[in-house]
Amino acid sequence: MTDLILKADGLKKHFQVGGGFMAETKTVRAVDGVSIEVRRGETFAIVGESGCGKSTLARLLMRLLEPTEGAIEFDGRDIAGIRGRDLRELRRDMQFVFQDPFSSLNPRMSVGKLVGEPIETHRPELSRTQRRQEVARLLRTVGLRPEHADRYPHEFSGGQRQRIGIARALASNPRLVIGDEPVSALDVSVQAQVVNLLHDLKSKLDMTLVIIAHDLAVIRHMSDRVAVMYLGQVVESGPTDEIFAAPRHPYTLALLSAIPEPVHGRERTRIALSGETPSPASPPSGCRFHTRCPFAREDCATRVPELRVAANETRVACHYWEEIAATRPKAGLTPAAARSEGAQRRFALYEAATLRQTDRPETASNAGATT
Amino acid sequence: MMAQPATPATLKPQLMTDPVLQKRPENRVWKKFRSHRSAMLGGLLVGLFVLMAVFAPILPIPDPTATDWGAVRQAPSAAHWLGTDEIGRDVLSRLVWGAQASLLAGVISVGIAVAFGVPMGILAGYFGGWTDGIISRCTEALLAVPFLILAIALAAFLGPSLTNAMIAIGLSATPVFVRLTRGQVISVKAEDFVEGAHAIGLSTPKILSRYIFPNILPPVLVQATLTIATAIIAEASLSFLGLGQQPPAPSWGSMLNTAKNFLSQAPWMAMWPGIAIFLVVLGFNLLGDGLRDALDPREH
Repeated sequence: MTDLILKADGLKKHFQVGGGFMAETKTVRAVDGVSIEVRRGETFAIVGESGCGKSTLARLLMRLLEPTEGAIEFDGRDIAGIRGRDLRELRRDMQFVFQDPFSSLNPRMSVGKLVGEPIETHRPELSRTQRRQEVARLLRTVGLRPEHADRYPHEFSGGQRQRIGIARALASNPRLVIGDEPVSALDVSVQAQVVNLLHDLKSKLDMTLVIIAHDLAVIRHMSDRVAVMYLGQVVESGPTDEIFAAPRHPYTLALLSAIPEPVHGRERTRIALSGETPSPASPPSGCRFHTRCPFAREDCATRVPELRVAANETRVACHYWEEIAATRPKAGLTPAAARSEGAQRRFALYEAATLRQTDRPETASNAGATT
Repeated sequence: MMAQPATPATLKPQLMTDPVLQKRPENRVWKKFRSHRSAMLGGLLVGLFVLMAVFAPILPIPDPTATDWGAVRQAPSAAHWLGTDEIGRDVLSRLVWGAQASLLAGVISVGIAVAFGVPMGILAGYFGGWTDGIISRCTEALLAVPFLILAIALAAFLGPSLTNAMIAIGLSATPVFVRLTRGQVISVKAEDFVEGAHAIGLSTPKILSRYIFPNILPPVLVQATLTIATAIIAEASLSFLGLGQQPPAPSWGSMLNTAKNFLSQAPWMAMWPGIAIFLVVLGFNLLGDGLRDALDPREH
């Protein structure tokens, strides 16, 4: 197939919880057999509700957690078991942007040190002055001012802190950046700025992005391909446009129909899911979604669905998606179309604003400071 | 420009002469410490006692061990500003000379406790598992014995001298620091920014020194200043039992211990060393507070 930069095969992460004296140990199957393929230069999104294991998956791909089972390949090289020097080299090529910009920066280090640290680690040949200049360049790249280097994280707003986090991630010239909900902790107005920044940087610096998110608007705006996760497994994956236009898995259908309708009174098909997400410590048998699926049949509780090719590059893990699609020919189209109208206006506005700001970094940082 | 690798050649020339980049950052910690009033007061108190201890030999005061049987237990007067003790020794002189023993006992024993306790606590908290098991069980065993009893036992084992008393007090105070550090490390370890440090690819020693240590320091500093007080008093108790400062050399603790027999006849004998201990302990506490605030960039 095409050029893959990151590939996960049957990745599993099980956590042992509880235990201790006279207590039963439970196994939480946070990630349970996930296979994904990320192509060089694309933006790959992983979406799902809270607790579906997407953050765990991100940490597995990043090798911040050891997988229980399965293989991870980066650039054709198996990275599941590497350590020491190899792992450090991997850290140079693969970087991480955290969800919460308030807790992910060491409060006792100045911005200059925070951003300079990856440079010091991965490019030790640079002198102190060169490093300081490189930090200044990185701060400009993310829309901050070089004189911010002497300040401390608490002096910045959430959006600015996330820019610091991005500058830190870019400092080692990575080829792949994984963002674990990089904008979900930010104000909506700042979200768009940061999303656009990531988007611009991706094309400018020739990187690949993997974005974990639960905000479908963000994903639709910036990703090329998307994987939908439910209870530690991928239920549907494929090109973003195709999935938003014609979702096939009932869970994707429900997820997309939950997007708020910006136009009052527009006709829509809404699929409300009943019940809570089952615990990953005791996932349902058969298809994991059968307990909440409005289309579930008897054998869904016993037969485990495999991801199978639906159309072009889309894959779906549902036994009956063809029949569901036949009965609901327009499902998903309405909310997607309605969303794009409002979202596009919103994003167009911010894109224009961001463009203006990146031309003049001073205004960008001032705008961020007011939030 | 952004996609290019950043070698100095590709940097814009004005960046090289940018005044912002050339400016040396001022010393933030010292600047903040200076503007912290109570910390400066603490520093002044401690500094005063340190000067007193250092310059004891050249101050115009009588020999602290010279007895005068004609002037036993005399109230403060022009000849003896702070009075005399039960064998006619000058209390002021003994107070000044005693500052040496007491300050040394306080600072060095706490230094020993911090030097052993903090690294062990970091090891236990950061690595967990067997390391933690062994260190924590030993700590708990030591904590089960009362502080002073442990110090007395150790001092008796090492033999009576001021140095051994300091070692004994230091080792007895170590478990508290191990426990405190371990707990702090466990909570700091779970912070996102430590995971961020792993993601950057930092080595473990760097994570420990840049991420863990600075963030566990404040409570350790406060505990250390409080323990200095405890250590000065522990030295007094050991001196009383003949395990600390050897008579007739003075220490505040031994002065207090003798004075308690003459509380009604000669209260000044107890008052001055008591005030001295109070002021030194207050000084160290204020100093520790100020240092903690100055080291935290979030405090203004």
